[in-house]
Order: sequence, then structure tokens, then C-alpha cells
Amino acid sequence: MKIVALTANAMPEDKAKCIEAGANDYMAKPMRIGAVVEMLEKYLPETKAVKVA
Amino acid sequence: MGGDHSPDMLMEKVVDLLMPEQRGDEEQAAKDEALEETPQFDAHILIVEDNQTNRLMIETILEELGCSFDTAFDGREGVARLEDKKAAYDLIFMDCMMPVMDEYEAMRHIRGNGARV
Repeated sequence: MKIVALTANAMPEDKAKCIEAGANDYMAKPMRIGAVVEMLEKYLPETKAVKVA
Repeated sequence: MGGDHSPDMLMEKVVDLLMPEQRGDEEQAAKDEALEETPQFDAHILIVEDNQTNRLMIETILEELGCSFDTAFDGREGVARLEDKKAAYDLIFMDCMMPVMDEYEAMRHIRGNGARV
């Protein structure tokens, strides 16, 4: 199960703490659509991406 | 002819005056095109976030991307959701600094190293 931590603190030690606790990655808040797309592309199997006509 | 108006601007003005409905179509088409460029994902996401504003923001983004999602309000509820239907989520977005069970505790629990809720 892939976990992306959401944090208001973009400090490297916060990221390290999240990863150490078991998160696969982290995203800074406020969330932007580009960052979410990046995470979905990174962690979802390719079959989950729907081709839009 | 004054230098203030390019031929494009003049054309737009003429279209606006003579064919407003066509201009509306063009604007709609441009919007649709922008929407088509938004990638879509067939994914089910678990959101664990206690802050309502942040939750709404994440939900709005995921809706736009075609994702379905469940929302939990704290770490304990998130863990309960996962135990309900473990394999159903493709990805978890989990807030840091949550009440009841913070994300570190929740993640340890999900990873199986922590005490049971």
C-alpha cells in the first residue's frame, strides 16, 4: 500500500520523518493539481491512467 | 487606422457583434479542450485529513482527475477504513499532524509495526 504524506512543512527533516514512519513520499500543502498528478503517475500502475480521447 | 487594434482584435470584435453565439461556442470549445488535457485516473484513493479546507481541496483535485475516494478524519478512522477493505485503495494521501492518532502512528500501524487500535 503506497502512502503519500501531506505536510505543511517542506523541511527535509519532516520529509525524513514521514519516510521513516512508512510513507513512500510526501507532498507539501497546499496541494496543487500538478503535484497530485505527479504522485498518481509515480505510484499507480500504468493501467490506472485513463487515456483521454 | 489607429495602431491600437490588431487585426485579430478587430476580428474578435466583429464576431462578438455579429455572431455572439459562435463566439460562445469557441470559448466552450477552448474550455473543453483544456479539460481534455487533464489526465484521468481510474483509481480509488483514501484521504486521511482532519482539516476541512485541505480535505475539500484534495477532494476537488481528485474529482477533477477522475479518481474516486473515501475520506477519513483522523489516523484511527483511516486505519479503520483500511481494515474494512484492505486491498481496495490504490493510494493513501495522509495528513501529518492529525488528532487522535498522528500520521506516524497511523503509518506504523498500517505497516504492521504498531499496537492495535
